[in-house]
Amino acid sequence: MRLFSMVAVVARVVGVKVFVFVAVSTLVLATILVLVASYSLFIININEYIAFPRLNNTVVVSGFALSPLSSLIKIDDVEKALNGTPGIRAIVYEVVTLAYVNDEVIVVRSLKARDLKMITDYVVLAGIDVYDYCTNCVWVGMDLARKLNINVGNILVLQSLFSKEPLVARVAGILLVDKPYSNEIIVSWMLGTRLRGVGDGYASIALVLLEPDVNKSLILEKLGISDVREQLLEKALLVLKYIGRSRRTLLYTSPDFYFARLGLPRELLLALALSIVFILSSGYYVLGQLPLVISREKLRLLYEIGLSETRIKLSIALIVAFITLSVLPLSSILSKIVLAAGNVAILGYDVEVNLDTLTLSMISAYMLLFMMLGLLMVSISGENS
Amino acid sequence: MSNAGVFVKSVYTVLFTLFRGRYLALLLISVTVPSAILSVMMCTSSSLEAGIMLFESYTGSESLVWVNESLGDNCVEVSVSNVVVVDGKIVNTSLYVISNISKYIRITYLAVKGSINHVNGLNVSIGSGLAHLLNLSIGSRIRIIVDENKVAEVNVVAIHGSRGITDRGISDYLIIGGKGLEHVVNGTWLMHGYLCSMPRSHIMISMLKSIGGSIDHLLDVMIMLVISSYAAVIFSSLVKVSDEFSGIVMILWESGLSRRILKASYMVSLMLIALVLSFFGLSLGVAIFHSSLWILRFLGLYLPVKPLPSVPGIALTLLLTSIATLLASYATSNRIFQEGIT
Repeated sequence: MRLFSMVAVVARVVGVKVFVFVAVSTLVLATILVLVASYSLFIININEYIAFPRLNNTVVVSGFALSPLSSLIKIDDVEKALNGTPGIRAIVYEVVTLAYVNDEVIVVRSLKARDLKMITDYVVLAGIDVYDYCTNCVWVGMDLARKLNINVGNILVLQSLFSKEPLVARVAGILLVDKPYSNEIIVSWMLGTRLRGVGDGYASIALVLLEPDVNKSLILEKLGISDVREQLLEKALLVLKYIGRSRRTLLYTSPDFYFARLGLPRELLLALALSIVFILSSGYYVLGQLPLVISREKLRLLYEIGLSETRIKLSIALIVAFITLSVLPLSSILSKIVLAAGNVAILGYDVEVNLDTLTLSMISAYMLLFMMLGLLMVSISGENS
Repeated sequence: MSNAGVFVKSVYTVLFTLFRGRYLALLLISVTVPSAILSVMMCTSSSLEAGIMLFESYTGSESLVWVNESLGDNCVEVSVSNVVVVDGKIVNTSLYVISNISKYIRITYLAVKGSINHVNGLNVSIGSGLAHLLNLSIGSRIRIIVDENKVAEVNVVAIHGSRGITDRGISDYLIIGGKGLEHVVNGTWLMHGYLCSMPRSHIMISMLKSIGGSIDHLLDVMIMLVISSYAAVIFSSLVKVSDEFSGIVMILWESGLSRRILKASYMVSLMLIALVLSFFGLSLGVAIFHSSLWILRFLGLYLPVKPLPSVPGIALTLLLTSIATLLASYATSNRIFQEGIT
């Protein structure tokens, strides 16, 4: 019997209802998996989301803590290390910290006004332009302003994790700017360092902007980063070891730093993701068995008239694989709808379903693996192994 | 045999058939899997609560919080104004008019150069960052513009700043004055309230609750998704299960059982099995979540909490399972009895 005819016969014998049930269950389980994967990947990659350069040929230098929310680098050290290096267009220093504003935890970023102009194409929607000599002004990204209903002239009290005093600030402007800045609060450089609890001369990250034809490995060499770190360089995220190491004890002795790395929520989400993966594995396993188990008696007739067990299972496997692969894009759309309808956000950033092809392929492979395993473990004769 | 005895026997027969039948896998998918998912979500939620309790036990150093009403002796009354300092550069900053300056210095642990006792009248203390920026020293006289239109000349009689190099605060850029400046400001405050000294854990707990709130929100969204979608899944699985029962119902009918007892025993036994499978799912979820926490220890992530789903959460899951099963079994029982017993 030809493959297509064989699959059609098996599909008719098992029945459309069973496969609809498999499709609906797969859709629900896949949506849960995509939701958990998106949220977990977002929170795991949040450091890169905050620090990742949005300009071409840029290297980000961070401290040993890896999280820009807790790392510190000494500006002098970076300047000394890169002094005289050809091909550097500019070095932009940023201080990034967390602040508690209007019952929300928001990322506050500070950089010099000219640097902000250099690395973003922002437009002032309301209020005044960003300027350096204001120590009680904040500029709010448009998306955040909309979310928290903030307008120019509002007074905000920012409670930073690293500063002993709260900041009473005026909203000086609303900025139309790209992500992630659109969900952040921008403050002057002077104010940002104090909110982070440090004096002049420290930054969270340094963005080294290179001329288009300059190779990033030149910076790697100048900063004395070993080859092991080269993979990180591909993401343009460098760890300035010798700067951070001396500060490591300071960074990890306080729960503030553990918190600033989103320690507890991050680890809990990892545990949740791991648990969901375990449960879904068993779910897919049973789901893979379902068409055969439910229609065993009818399928036994096919077996008795000469269709081999391998061929029957192959037909079911093909149908299940087709269902799974068709359902996955649907689950991605459903997850987007669920996240948008639920307004799911963390640190002011909207969580998005943005899984790349590799991750989606891995999710399909994982689902199919357990379904096929389940199918392999049952037999038409009724003896499950 | 009494009606009750017949009913129990009938429930037992149906349960036995179901447990040994081919549809157990179907019920595992439709009842156990969602219960296990709900269970791990509840464990995550209770871990967050346990984490907050953990941070509550940490007091840490003191920090200041802004409140509208005084919380006691550790508070100081502050009025904040927007001022522009014009001295070579034009700098926007805040002027804090403070009712009790020595108390403010005490609770903020500020280092002060100069005589703080003179911070009265039109005398001010300026932050070290501001002094450095404008190249000011004790004895300087600066012009300030309050609320964009009231100009005043004030004397710098003290310079305050943070004590540590890596423990700097926003007071580095503040101007602090006493009650004597109130008539200059003349009621045009940005903010009026109290700065109170509290343990640092207060801020961390507020932040953790906020972040936890967003995780809880995601969990709520997912719980709603699980419940709403599994209502359909439970119904369709019970439609399939009812096929299995047509045969056994016919046998029981032929052995003399009434239609009412048959229908009741079908519904009760399905509810019982759903409850057992749901409870199994909840327990499985707890076991899996704890296993995940244990596995994470190998990655250096240690969570010192032993979370369990909340009792109301467990009760609600079992209640929802019972309601969904009862409704679905009622609907499918009509189908069996219409098709099977006429």
